[in-house]
Amino acid sequence: MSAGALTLEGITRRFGDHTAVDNVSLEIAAGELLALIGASGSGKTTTLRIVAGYEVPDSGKITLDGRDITDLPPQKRGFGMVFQHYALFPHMPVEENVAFGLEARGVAKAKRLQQARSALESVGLGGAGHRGIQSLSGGEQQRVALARALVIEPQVLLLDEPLSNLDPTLRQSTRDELRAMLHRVGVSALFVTHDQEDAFAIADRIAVIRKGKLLQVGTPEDLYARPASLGVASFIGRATILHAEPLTSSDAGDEKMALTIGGVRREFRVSRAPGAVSGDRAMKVVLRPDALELVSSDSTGAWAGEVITRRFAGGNAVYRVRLAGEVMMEGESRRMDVREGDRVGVVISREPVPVVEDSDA
Amino acid sequence: MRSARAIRGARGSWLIALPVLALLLWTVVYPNAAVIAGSFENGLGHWREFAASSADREALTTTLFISFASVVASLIIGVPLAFLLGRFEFPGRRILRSVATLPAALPPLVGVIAFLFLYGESGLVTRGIQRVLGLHEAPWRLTGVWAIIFVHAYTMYVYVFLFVSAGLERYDTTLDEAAAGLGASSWQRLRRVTLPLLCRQLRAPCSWYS
Repeated sequence: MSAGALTLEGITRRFGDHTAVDNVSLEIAAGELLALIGASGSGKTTTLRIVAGYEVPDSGKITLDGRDITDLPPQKRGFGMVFQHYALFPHMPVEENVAFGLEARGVAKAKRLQQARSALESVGLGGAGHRGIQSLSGGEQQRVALARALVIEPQVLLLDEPLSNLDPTLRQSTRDELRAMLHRVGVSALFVTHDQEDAFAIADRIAVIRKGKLLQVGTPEDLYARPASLGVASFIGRATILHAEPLTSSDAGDEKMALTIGGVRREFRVSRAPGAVSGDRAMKVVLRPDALELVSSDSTGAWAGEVITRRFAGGNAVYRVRLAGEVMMEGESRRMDVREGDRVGVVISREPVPVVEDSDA
Repeated sequence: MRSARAIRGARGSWLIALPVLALLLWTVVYPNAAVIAGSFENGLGHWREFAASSADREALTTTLFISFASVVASLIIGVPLAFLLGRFEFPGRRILRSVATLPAALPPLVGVIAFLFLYGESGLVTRGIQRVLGLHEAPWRLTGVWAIIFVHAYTMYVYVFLFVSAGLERYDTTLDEAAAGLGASSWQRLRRVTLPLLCRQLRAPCSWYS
């Protein structure tokens, strides 16, 4: 299977007055797994449908290995697609479903059924070829859909919320399997999801889309530690986002800010994402739970507050603490002995702290 | 263990079903059973008599032919019309959908009389064509088996149209998209995915003719 490099250049799609996809440009390298993540109505599925050829963009260009495919119909693109509800043909047994793409390409019956059986073997469903679609569980249907998309050896695989119909336990194990399989096959993949855990677990890079506009593209680590905007900071991971006071010029290499809560002032180093705007607008700091630590309430320099909720998270616990002035902060701690209602202190345990411009983008 | 409410529910269902069952027994099962039983009152005599009569045999084969041809003609009109008015967007589509179902609102007798007025030997359309082409006599006669099939097709295609339209409305169009994405042409999608899935919608109207 030869993976293709896919490029979207200034893709725009309008439905009446509503701009579903607004000047989106994106590159997927050969063999790369890219997740397009966004809330409902953000334009991620429309973007995927444009790449698949089911929607025609109002403007912009899509190229595959440098070849313009913007006007090619879906049947001529040779992409594999896994639909959210799998779209398996209910009147065909499993192996005929998997062999359908080969049948459309005129492969002889014996050969295509043999290829379909090996594709089913590769997704762990060997021997299920004669079963009806209705007899399959959600996880099995997802694997059949994947086998059907991969058996045609596509240059690009498109996946529309492929894990959203699986129960939480199966979903977790399927994430790892899916990533391993896509890397093993070596196909370029674009998958859309609203679930950041799916994106973190499967993708090499993640593109965040909001109101049709692409906000940031980067590795999961980049998006979490160096969000380029308030929109990305609040959508990716959990965070307490607060206004802070700048201390030194933004041009300085070692930029610092200060945060005062309940009369306690803390200074800390901050970092901006590469290419992020450094204008005169007010800035906000993005305090991730793992960058905050719970200490005793009388510790020097700690912001004192009361634990409102406590959530067990395996090796540690996540505490929601109400500080002075009704500021809510979420911090992680390995201490398990703290309970709701306890007085605690909160300190910043990791610097630099990400900082974003205070604008609605 | 079944709850008391479930048992009461089952009894309630029977109370509703009993009158319907009685009606079916009286209007459908009894007349048919009476005819079948009557055919054996003389042993196999009536059946032998039927088999020996060439007129009866011809009536049977003609009936079967008319049924089959009417189904085919209704499918030829109803299926493409349902696709045209269900799958494509164009001005006046909703009005045309209503017009397409009009024959169902006409009593069969009115339909037949309308046909005679329009396409009979001295009908409006027949005379018009005769005059335009300068013919000495009518270009066709609305008689015989083909006339029956013509009238059947006109009056019964609407059931095919309605069933296929209903099927298309419930049809999951992502199945067609999936087939297209896998490389299937329009014809392959129609033949392997859309029509096989719509077939169950077509069984009911087809059985009415037989």
